[in-house]
Amino acid sequence: MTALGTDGTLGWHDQTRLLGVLVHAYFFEPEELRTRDDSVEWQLPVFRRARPRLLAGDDPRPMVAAGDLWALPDAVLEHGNGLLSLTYRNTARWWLHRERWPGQLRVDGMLQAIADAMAVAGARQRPCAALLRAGNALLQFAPSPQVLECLASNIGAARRHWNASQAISASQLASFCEPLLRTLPGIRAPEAPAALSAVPSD
Amino acid sequence: MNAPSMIEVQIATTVSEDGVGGICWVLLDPSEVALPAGAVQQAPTDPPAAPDVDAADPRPARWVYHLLRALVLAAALAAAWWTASGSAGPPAPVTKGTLARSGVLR
Repeated sequence: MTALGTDGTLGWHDQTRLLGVLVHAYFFEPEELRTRDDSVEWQLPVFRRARPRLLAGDDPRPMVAAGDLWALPDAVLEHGNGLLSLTYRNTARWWLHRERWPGQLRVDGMLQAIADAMAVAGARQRPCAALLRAGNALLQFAPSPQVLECLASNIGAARRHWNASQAISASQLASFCEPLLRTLPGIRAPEAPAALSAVPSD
Repeated sequence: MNAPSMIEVQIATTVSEDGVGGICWVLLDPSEVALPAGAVQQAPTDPPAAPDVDAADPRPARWVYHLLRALVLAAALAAAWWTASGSAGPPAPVTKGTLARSGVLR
């Protein structure tokens, strides 16, 4: 077992690959987190020691824009040398079963969280990680260069698709790119749940 | 005139207790519209403005639409009048006799 807090590794419970994105998952009991006073413990329970600083979020949600892409992440936090873009999904559809969660993941929500992080990174000109807080799990998305390239290079096409004379939202870009990603060579369909040790680290 | 430069986007693929890492780089085209990059610093609360329909709308102008609609309505009315005249003849002048025959005057 990893010695959490000594080497800085976070205690993700599981991970999987979905359409070219490595997804880390940390499961928690929402009822237990409600008793915590610390907002970071509530938002990002995977952290044991670190306390990312909230830069913008909750009320009002921060609007960020980079190029012709805009996004409304639920929170933007500063963490060490970079940023965290946090998107909430608290509906019942985002209640993930610990054994079956890879098959429950919704690609549109995942791609929107990544597009949110792209807008934050472009607006702030700092590296940014994409996180999504579901009903009972915190997810971190590590997109492959192919996925990032697909999202970045299709902003103009998505604008034309949505007949948007101004910038498009992260959700519009995600919706446009999902079928494109499924056709890209090397991008595979969802896999079965994998143990941490079974997935090669990037 | 200098072309606007591409926007550099760095996505972190790893997160640790100390910070982020595993940076992937990608470039975004500069904005072609009026949304400012760096809006997070200004933290505006308003969503982007509604699309400007007139700016890029390839449809005919609104007055052409209204003119065509008026022409179609006028043609329909004329056709209805012509059909009614052909089947029932022109309307008779209203006299005391016609009013009495129709039962209005008794």
